[in-house]
Amino acid sequence: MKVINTQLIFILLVLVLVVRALPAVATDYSGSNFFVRDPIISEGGTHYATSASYQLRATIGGVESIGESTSTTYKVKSGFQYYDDTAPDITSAVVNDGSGADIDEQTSLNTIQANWSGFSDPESGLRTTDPYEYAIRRKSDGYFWSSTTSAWQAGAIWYATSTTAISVTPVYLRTSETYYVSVRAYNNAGMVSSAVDSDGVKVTPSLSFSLSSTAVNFGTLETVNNFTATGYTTTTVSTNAYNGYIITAWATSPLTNSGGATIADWGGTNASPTAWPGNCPVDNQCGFGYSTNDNNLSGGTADRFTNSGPNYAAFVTNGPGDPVADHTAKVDGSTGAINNEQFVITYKVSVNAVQAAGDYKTTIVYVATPQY
Amino acid sequence: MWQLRSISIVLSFILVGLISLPASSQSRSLDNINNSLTVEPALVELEVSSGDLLLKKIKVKNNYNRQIKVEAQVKGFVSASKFGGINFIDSSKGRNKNSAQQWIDIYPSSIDIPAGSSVEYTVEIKVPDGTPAGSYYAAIIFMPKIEAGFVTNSGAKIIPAVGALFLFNLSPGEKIDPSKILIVNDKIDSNNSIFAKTIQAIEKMFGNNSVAVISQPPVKIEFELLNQTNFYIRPKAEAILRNALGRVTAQSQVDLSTVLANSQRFNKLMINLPAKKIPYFGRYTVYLGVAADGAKLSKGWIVWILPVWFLLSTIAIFCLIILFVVKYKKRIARFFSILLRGK
Repeated sequence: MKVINTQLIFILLVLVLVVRALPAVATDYSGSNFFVRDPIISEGGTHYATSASYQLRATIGGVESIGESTSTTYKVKSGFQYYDDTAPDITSAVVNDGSGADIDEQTSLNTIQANWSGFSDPESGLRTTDPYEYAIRRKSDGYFWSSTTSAWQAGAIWYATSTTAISVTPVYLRTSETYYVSVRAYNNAGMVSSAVDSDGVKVTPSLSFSLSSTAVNFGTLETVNNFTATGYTTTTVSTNAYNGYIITAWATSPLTNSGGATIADWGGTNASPTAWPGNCPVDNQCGFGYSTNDNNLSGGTADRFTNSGPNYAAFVTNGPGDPVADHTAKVDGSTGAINNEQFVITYKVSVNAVQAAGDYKTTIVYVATPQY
Repeated sequence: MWQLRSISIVLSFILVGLISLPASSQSRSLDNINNSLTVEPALVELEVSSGDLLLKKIKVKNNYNRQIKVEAQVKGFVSASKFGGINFIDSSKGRNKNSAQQWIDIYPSSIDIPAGSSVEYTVEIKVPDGTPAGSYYAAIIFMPKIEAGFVTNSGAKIIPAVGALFLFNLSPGEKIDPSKILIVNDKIDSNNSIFAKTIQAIEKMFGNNSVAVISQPPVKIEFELLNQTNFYIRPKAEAILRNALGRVTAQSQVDLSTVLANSQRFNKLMINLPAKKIPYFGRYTVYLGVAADGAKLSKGWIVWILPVWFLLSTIAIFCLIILFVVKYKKRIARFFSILLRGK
C-alpha cells in the first residue's frame, strides 16, 4: 500500500513539473479561409524587440499590436509598430501661479489660478485629448482639493484639462497658508510625466478699520439732563484674516478738565461689566464708562455686555486696552471674508451737581488687529 | 452815517449767520464719514535665523476723505488671553523675552497720506546674532494723527488705529518637543436632564467617564491647547463621529488658531452630520485628533443622540408593555408556566 502511495506521489510530481515546463502557447488567429498559427515571435515577457528608442510589444493598453493575417481571399500584414516609451519631457516646464506671470500673493479666498508651459514629447507628442492633469494642493499637509466634495483631502485628486491655464472656483482658501498647483502631462503612448509644481501662492491677510466719528461730544452736563449724557461710535471692520479680528480700546486718561479735576470711572470692568440704568444725581450711579453690543465677545463671558444689559465698564488707561468687539469664527473660502462688520460702542457719563465746572476731555484709542 | 449803517447791517448778517450754524458744524463732527485705514498684510509669519536681515513691505491705504498723517509705532506683545488678542509689553521694563520690538525699524515712521492713496512702508528686520531659538512677536500700529479741536465741550477724541502683527519662529535646528503640547480643559456639550445623567451613570458603571447626551446634532467640543514650548504652533484638528457599528458618520477637519509659545488657546469644534430622512439617534463615539509640529494628540468621547421623539416613543412602548403585562398577567403567567414546565 505504501509503495503504491509513493509511486502515486512520484507520478503526480512528474506531472506537475511537466505541466510547469510546457512552453507558452499563443492564441491562433483565424478567418473563414485562413489560419495564423502561434503568432508569438519570441517567448518571455511582453516586449519582443527593443532598441534605445522603441519597443515591439504584444499589446499596448490591452490592444493587440502584433501584425496578423487577414484576408478576403488572402492578405498578410506585417511589420513593427513603434511606440514611445518615454514620459513627456518636463525639462522646460514651468507652472505659474495666477493668470499671467507668477504671483506669490493674492486677495481671493476662493479662486486659484495657474498657467503653465514647456511640457513636450518629441517621440509621440502630447496626447490631443486632455493632455494635462492638474491638482490643487496646500503646503502644510500636502492635501489635495476635491471639487466634488468641496473639501481638502489626503488622497491624490487630479483633474484633466486640455488648456494650459486654469481658474478654479470655489476653492476654500485661508490666509497664512501656501497653495500650489501641480501639473503633469500625458503623451500619445499614455505615458505620464512627473508633476511640476508652482512655487505657491498665499492669500494676503488685510484689515480695514473705521469708526463712525473721530469725536464724541457730551455737550454740557446740567440739571436738564440730570448731569448725564451718552454717545455712540460704530466700529466697522473688513478682513480676510483666518482667525478674524479683535478691537481693543483704551483711554489715554480719565475725563479731565483744564484744572486737572477728573470724572471717576464707572465701577464695572471689561471682564465684569455692570448695569447702569440710572444717573448720578438721582441714583448715585456716577462715572464714565462704555458698553458694546457685541454679544459674542472674547475675554470672558461672551454676552457679558448685553445679557440683562447694557452693562458698562471703565476704560483702562494703557494700550492696547480691553476687547470691545471681535470676530473669532474662522474665515476662509467657505465663509467668505468679513465685510463691513459693525458693532456699536456706547459711552455714558454721569456726574453730580458738585462736580467742578469745566470741559472734561480725554482721548480714546481703538486698536484693530487680526487674530493670530 | 450811511457807512455806520452799512457796517451794522453787515455785522447783523454775520451774527445771524453764526447763530444759525448747525451744532454739527460747530463741533466739527465727522459722523458717518468712512474714516478708515487699510493695512496689508495684516499678519506676517516668518521663519528666521539668528543674524538674518530681512525687508518686508506693508501697504497702508488712507480711506479718509482728506490727507492724514499716519504714525507707525513698533510694539512687542504677548498673548492677551486664551481667546487670543494681544497685550503690549514694555521692553524697557525687561519683559522682553518674546519681544521682537528691537528687531524692527519701519520707514517712514510718520508720513502724510493723501485721501484715497496708499503708502508702502519698508519694514527692516534685523535678527540679532546669538538670539536664542524660540518665538518672537511684534506689532506695528498705524495711528492717524487726529487734529485737536473736535471736542468742543466735554467729550473724547477718538482715534482708530490698525495693527499688523509679526510672528517669528527662530529655530536653528531645534525641534519642538511634542510632549510639551497638551489638550486641556476639554469638554463636550451635553444635556443636564435626569435622563442624560442616568445614561452617564450607567456608562460610568462600564468605565466610560466621558459621556455626553444630546438631543440632536451638531456635536460641540471645546478644548484648550496648551503649548509649553518656546515656539508658536499652528495646529490642525480632525474630529470623527462613528456610529455603534464603527462606521464613520461625520468628519470635520479644521485649522486651529495659532498658539503662541508658552500659552494656551481656546478652541471650539462642531461636527455637523449630513442630513438624512431618519433623524440620528443612538450611541456614537467621537474621536478628536490634534496634530501640531510633530505632536499627535487625541481624545475620545461617547455621545448618545437621543431626540425627543425617540424618548417619547421609548416611554410609550414601555408604558404599553406594562399595560399589556397588567391586563394579561394571568395568561402571561400561564404561558411561562407551560414554557418552563413543558405542560
